[in-house]
Amino acid sequence: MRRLAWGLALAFSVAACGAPPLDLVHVKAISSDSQEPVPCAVYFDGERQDDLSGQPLVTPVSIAISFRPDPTGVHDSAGVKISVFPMISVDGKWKLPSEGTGDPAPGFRFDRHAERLMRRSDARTQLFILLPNGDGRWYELPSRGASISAGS
Amino acid sequence: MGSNRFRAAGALLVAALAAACSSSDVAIVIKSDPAGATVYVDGERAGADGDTFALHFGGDSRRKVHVQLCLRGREPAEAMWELVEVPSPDGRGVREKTFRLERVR
Repeated sequence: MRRLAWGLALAFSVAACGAPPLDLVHVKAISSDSQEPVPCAVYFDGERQDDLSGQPLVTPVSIAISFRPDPTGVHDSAGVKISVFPMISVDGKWKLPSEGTGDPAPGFRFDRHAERLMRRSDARTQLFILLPNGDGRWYELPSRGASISAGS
Repeated sequence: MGSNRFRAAGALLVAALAAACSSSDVAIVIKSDPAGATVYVDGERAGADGDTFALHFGGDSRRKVHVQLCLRGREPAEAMWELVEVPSPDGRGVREKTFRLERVR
């Protein structure tokens, strides 16, 4: 009986080691000028993080994160590329802006300050300081395997 | 005899822990050029340029502390420091780092 218990314990330990552990990361974005919060959608390795209803999670937000080798090939370490894309307010709701639909351009730039590779040993609070998008530029949404690119 | 050994081992353990704790915290003065930037440490607002900041590295040698500065009209500046990467003390034993914040283009 004791051997069986030890065997089960060992099996559970091996199974637990095989699954990637989850950590909780707190993602925040602020304006570099006013230092007020900037609502943003969050992407991990180019994948948008949604709530249970399929709507984008909006910063500030805590999200479970799993550190594993990057499946997209953008980086080679066991880290996660975190991107924050500024949202716009339409009828009192936050949404991602769509070019050519009458939406205003995002109020903040989606540039190098909006993306970062986070490793397991980094702080669990990730703050992004965003610059105002005074030129009204459009930016492509993050996607798997893509790096930042500015639109027109 | 046995209890003396036990006490000695306990004292050594306490000394080792104290040494580990004191060596993992680093005080540094952070400045900005131009002056007036707000300083964030590990994502939390920590003070302003010219202040002295305590960086907590804990027991993880790979742990990085994230320092960020922002100022209206300037590009944000940042550094990710492991314990060995924190700027060394000067002749007065003071650690200091000045971040230059470029004008936004």
